[in-house]
Amino acid sequence: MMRARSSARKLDLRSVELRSLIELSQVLNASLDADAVLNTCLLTPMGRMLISRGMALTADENGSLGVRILKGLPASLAQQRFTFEYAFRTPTRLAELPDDVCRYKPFLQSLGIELVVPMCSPSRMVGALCFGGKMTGKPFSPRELEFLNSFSNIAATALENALMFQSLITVNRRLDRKVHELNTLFEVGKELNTALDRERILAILQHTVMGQMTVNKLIMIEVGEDQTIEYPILKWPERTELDRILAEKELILSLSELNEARLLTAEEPAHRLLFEAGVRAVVPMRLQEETRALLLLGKRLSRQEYAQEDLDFLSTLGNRVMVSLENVRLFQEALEKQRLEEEMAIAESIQQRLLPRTFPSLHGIEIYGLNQPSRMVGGDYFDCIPLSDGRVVLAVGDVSGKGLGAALLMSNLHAGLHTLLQSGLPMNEMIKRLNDLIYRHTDFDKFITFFYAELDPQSRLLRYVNAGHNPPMLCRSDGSIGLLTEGGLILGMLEDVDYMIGQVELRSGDLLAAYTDGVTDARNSADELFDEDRLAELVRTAARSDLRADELCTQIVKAVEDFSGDLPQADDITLLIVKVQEKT
Amino acid sequence: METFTIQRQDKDELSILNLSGFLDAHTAPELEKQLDQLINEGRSKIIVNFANLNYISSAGLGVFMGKIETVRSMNGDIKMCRMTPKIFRVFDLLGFPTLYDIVQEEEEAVQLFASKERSSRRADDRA
Repeated sequence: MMRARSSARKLDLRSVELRSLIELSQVLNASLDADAVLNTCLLTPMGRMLISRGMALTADENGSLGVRILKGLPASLAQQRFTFEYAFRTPTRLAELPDDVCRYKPFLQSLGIELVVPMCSPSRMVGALCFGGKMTGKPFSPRELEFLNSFSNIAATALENALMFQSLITVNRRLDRKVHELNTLFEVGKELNTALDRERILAILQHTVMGQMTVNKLIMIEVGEDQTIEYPILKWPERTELDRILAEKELILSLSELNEARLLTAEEPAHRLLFEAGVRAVVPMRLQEETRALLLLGKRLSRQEYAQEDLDFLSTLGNRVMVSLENVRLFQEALEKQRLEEEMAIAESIQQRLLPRTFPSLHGIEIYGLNQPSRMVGGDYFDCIPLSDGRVVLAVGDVSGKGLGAALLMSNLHAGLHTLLQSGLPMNEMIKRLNDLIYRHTDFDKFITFFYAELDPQSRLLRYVNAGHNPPMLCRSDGSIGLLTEGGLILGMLEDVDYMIGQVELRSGDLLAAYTDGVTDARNSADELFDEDRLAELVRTAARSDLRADELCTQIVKAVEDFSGDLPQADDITLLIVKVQEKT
Repeated sequence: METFTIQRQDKDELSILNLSGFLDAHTAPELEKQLDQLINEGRSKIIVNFANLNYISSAGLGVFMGKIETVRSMNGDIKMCRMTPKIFRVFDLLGFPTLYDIVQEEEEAVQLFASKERSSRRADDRA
């Protein structure tokens, strides 16, 4: 009877155990939450066997076990990791584990752990449960160990599923983040393609970095070729930290040699100061294999560290932005150049209007002049001004230098001469005043070579002053060439200079050619000068020709151009011709 | 070009911004301007309602990052509500839920401001 009752009780117990195992397997397999699974795994045996302390561990991919849940044990164990060199697949009393293969044994014993229950899937140990002793003080019976064995086998599968699910979630999240990063880069790229001003591009960069990295501290540093430092983006709420960063000029220059993004750590002495000021990552912004700018990033508000993936993203973004900034710079440069060209064109048209467009028709004498500027505006000047008494003023000048400066000085010369012509002064006095005017208004390196002449068509007398200009050639009908050299120093060099007046009488068949050095200094592809001899030869030929002065002028200028061939014209070319007709 | 609009609504101390359309690198400066405007007016208790927002990019989120410290230093906050699952996913991916109060309904955001007000008043009373 007694035996029958005791075996019935045993059966009852057995069925309760089985029921709880079935129930457990249902609960566990329904859950994909590793913590919930482990919680059940601890609480069920603790309740059934009156155990007051336990912990659940899960294995990482290296088989090292990390504490995941603690019951009745100090929370300070949460970071603890264990390894068991000794492979065991069934619940084992800690006391029975060989001492030499489990170096954590004394530590676990000190915590009051008596039993270790491995949770094994067919391939590996997924986790482990550790339990303290029973509060009844009785040892674990073989039946209880057998129960824990069945229990841990069921739980191991559930745990493995849960862990796998969890890692899938992590992988999925990382994948999601990657997709989002790509979307961001795609969208930003699209936006940058249409952004044509710098401010806008910088705003896109700033917003994108801050949003993607959850950071609100961001500095962009541009390092120029001459090591000048600029800060297009300065977003750093802590003023004192910011000042400390900006004070580290040398450090920043040394960072500009970085060619890949990196984290800053407190351990590196070179970057310690920046680290202490709150900088956590440095991202070079590169263009054509060259670091042109840097991004300094502060701590992320999400408290996460910058991962390699983040640095990769920031580098890609930074380089993409650098391309856009460069495009904007080139675009601005082109605009600026275009604006300058437009202004030069205006200056050129003004200057061209200062030159004579009509020439007086005189009895027996033809006058014609031509100016061909080199790079739009230049410093050559010539003039032909009929005076009220019938005389004609002829002038040719060459202002030093090129471009707008020379053009301005040339227009000054033009105005000065036209004003002084009203004064009725003798010509050498007039040139002296003109010299003083130019001298006062220019630096010593700006000067003008100037030839001034007055021709009386009646007497055919030509009186002139040559202020350091290439001497005009006067070709007589016999082919001999005289140079008109009388005068004095070039204009604008010294104050209060005296000028001598030269005088020649023009005769029938004479040809006078006044020119600027653009003619004689023209070079050919062999780097030879056109020079005075070639010009003299042309003048001689022209003097014998029946062509009109304007045709001769054009012909000579064309000869100079042909000489230079495809080479660009280096200097302004000016030629003024006076042809005295043969007596008929 | 996708459009983005902000509708502002002031209720006592609170300013509610109703965003609609596309908030991306292109439209982010508009939101930044609006937040700057509120900050200039000294209005720092801001609720952003995302109910009608169709899209947000990192640049859009960056605007909130750039202003949050200023707003909080003024004893205010930016609270967010009524995000569609698609919008919330982006915020969640980048870790925003730990940094900002993101709630379902606008009324909850209003309550959050109110309860903070009460607790800081109690602190004042004790002091």
